[in-house]
Amino acid sequence: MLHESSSALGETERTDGLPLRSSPGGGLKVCLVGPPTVTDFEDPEVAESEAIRLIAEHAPIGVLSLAAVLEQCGAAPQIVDLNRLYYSYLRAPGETASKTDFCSYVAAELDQLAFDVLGFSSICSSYPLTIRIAEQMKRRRPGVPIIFGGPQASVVDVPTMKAYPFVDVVVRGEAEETLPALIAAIASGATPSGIHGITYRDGGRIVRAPNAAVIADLDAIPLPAFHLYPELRDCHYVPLELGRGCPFACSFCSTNDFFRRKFRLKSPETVIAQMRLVRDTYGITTFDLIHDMFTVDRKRVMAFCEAVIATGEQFYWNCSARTDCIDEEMIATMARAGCKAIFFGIETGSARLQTIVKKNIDLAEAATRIEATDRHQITTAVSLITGFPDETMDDLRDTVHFFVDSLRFDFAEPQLHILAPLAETPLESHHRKELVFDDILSDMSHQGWRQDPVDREMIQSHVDIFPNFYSIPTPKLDRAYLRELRDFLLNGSVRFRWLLVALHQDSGDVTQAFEAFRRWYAADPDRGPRPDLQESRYYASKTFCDDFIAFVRDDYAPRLARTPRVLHSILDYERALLAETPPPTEVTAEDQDISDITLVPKLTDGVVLTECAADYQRIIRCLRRKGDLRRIPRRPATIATRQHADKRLDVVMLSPLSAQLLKLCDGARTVSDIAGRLTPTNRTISAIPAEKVCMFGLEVLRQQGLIALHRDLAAKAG
Amino acid sequence: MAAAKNTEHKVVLTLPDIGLSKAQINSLKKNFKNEVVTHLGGPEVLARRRIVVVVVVVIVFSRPKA
Ligand code: B12
Ligand code: SF4
Repeated sequence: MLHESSSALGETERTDGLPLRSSPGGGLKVCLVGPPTVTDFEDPEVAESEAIRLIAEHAPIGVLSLAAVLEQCGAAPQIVDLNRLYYSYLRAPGETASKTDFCSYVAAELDQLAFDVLGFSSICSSYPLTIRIAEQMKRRRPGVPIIFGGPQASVVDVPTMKAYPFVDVVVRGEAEETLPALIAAIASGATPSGIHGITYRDGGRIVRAPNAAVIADLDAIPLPAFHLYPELRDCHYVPLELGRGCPFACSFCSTNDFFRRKFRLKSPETVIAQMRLVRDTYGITTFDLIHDMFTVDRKRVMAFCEAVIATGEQFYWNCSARTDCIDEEMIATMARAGCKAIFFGIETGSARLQTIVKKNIDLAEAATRIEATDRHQITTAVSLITGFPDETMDDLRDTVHFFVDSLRFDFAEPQLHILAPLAETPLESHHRKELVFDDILSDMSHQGWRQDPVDREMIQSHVDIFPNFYSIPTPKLDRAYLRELRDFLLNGSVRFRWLLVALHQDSGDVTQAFEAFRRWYAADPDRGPRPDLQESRYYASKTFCDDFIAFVRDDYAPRLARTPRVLHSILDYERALLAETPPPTEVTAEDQDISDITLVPKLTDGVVLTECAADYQRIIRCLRRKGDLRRIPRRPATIATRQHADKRLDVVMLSPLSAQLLKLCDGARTVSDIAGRLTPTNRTISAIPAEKVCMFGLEVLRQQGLIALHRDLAAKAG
Repeated sequence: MAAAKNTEHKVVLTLPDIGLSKAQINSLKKNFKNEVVTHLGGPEVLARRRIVVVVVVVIVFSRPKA
């Protein structure tokens, strides 16, 4: 968890007992602490879910990049990743209640290390925690200078240093040039005056030096010091920077200003060389290629992709883009070059708000791009925000519409966030005086279901340092409604994607179905969120699924729906998926020769048959192209679900004849018995002897894992 | 992050020669064409992707039984 590089000054042994090679040039030992982003999920079950663990795997390349340049300067950096430490804390034996708090745990761990300078990275969501850890460390090591850096400290440097005297210096913005200069000043005992990009103390004064220049040549920055982060070996992907700086000026965004809006890209050669190095050293070929707006310069994106394709090597990667800075041809080329996921910040489905928040993307064009990435099988995050101060119910409906519309594409993964006023963004500056602490938090700042009371106190005392935990009032929207709608849409789309799409299409506006659901559960104390299962937890639970399915079946479909039959078919199907099917057991078929008509076919364990009133696939096709659901014919269909041991679930839409055949497999009838009862209605096969039809069909079902053949037990006994 | 794969599910049927003509086999293929949708991760897992896999039935005749 805690890693040191091989060079060091002074001490030659780590306090944890591991030997340390002495450094050639000598230099300060600098400990760099990456920001925690998973501390939200204090519920161990949530924290241990695959999705959250994947996020936590994100190597902290901000501090790793700094460690690489510090090593070049002869300093001895070490890296502490608070996400990793958080898992050690969670997994440490002992009841949660009796454990020390995470902050003290980190301080105790850090105290095991030898260092002369302690640097903390920061991100808005966990900034209170970072500050508390720093405070504890100052108490333990009063002589060690504490430096803050990263996106949050960079913009709230002065108020942070005013409120928290244990923060000695803040490095603002990109730090590959500033930090080595600062470390050199600390090593020589000189005052850091004259170093651009820092905020420091001079006696009792806080001095804000001018901004540092942006780093023009990103190719000159070495590969992040991954060797100080051995956990990389277990990671599924590695983040690498493609470049920095977005030239746009969206009013809610903090990252454009952080990199001074100066668009820069690394050369394809550098990025490819780094990908190769990572692959050859760690065996990883999937990359999170970081740039806020990779696709600004079409020519260079195409050049990068062509260069990757020309290597003939297989790399997978994802990136961020604006839908108005990408086109069909680029998407196709990116897909060929290994792009597997893309992040589109759509922000709002309202054309009016697009202008107000200065995003200015064309929504029809955005929809076309999502359709194209889907076609190229690129997983697409469609990021939307609600809770803008000027937002009206109509704007919200437009956003919800965009959200649900994206669900029609298999590869689209819409997200809905509640706006967080990030410090020093135009939006935050403009509304600073109106901010309220209403506990209706965005996931930008939500600290889980157990936000630390100490954090809360800090947040309430310092709106200027922690504005992201506050809300900008939305006079035309009820924020509690927004939060519930968000929980509903996010969980609903994960659990019953097509039901949501169908409800949206049936009603013309899924928020109406949501409101009807709220009225429905309000009338029944055993339904809906309740004191022991409050809103967010409720929507994440199976109880919500059961309630919602009951609501659609008993209330919405009979009373309000225009196409009840279609909704019922989707419900049947979704229920089949949600049903707890028994786990499969080993197939112990004795004989697999279908031409032996004395064998007895039997449904494999874990296979469940469900009847649907209409052809599900046809409904989905209709929903995908927004067709008329009333034209879906009644056509009873049978589906078989089959659970695999690895949790995969197969859903097999059976052809009518397969369904007929499968239903005849009752575990007692032989192939010959079944052939005698099979009544093919299709004329094209009526001339084929029933036994042959039966053998053929059963063999298909057997190979699809739905049946196994057994010897007739009775005959065996005889 | 991880690459989502679309797979084509090929069911290779190995049938003893039961005396079916090519045209009959084709009709049978059509009549027993089941569509498989795989849900990765199962319903309770967060990321649930649907991949429609169309079954391609290929017949390979094994030698008739002696
Ligand atoms: C990848 C990423 C993530 C990853 C990994 C986070 C991580 N460990 O960095 C994940 C997916 C986990 C993530 C999550 C979130 N993210 Co994020 N994320 C990014 C992204 C796109 C890239 C980060 C990165 O690697 N940059 C490249 C490195 C080299 O830059 P860097 O980390 O800033 O480091 C440089 C400087 O900051 C500085 N520095 C950094 N640390 C230190 C330490 C010291 C001591 C010093 C001196 C200097 C220093 O030097 C480094 C080199 O120049 C940035 C945007 C961006 N382009 O940076 C947003 C960004 C950091 N994220 C942001 C936000 C808001 C979030 C979330 C809170 C919200 C959300 N829903 O997205 C969540 C956190 C969730 C939670 N509950 O806590 C904001 C932060 C704004 C702020 N004021 O803090 C950013 C800037 C984007 C934005 N929307 O404006 N994020
Ligand atoms: S939201 Fe995206 S496009 Fe807008 S300024 Fe930020 S990074 Fe650029």
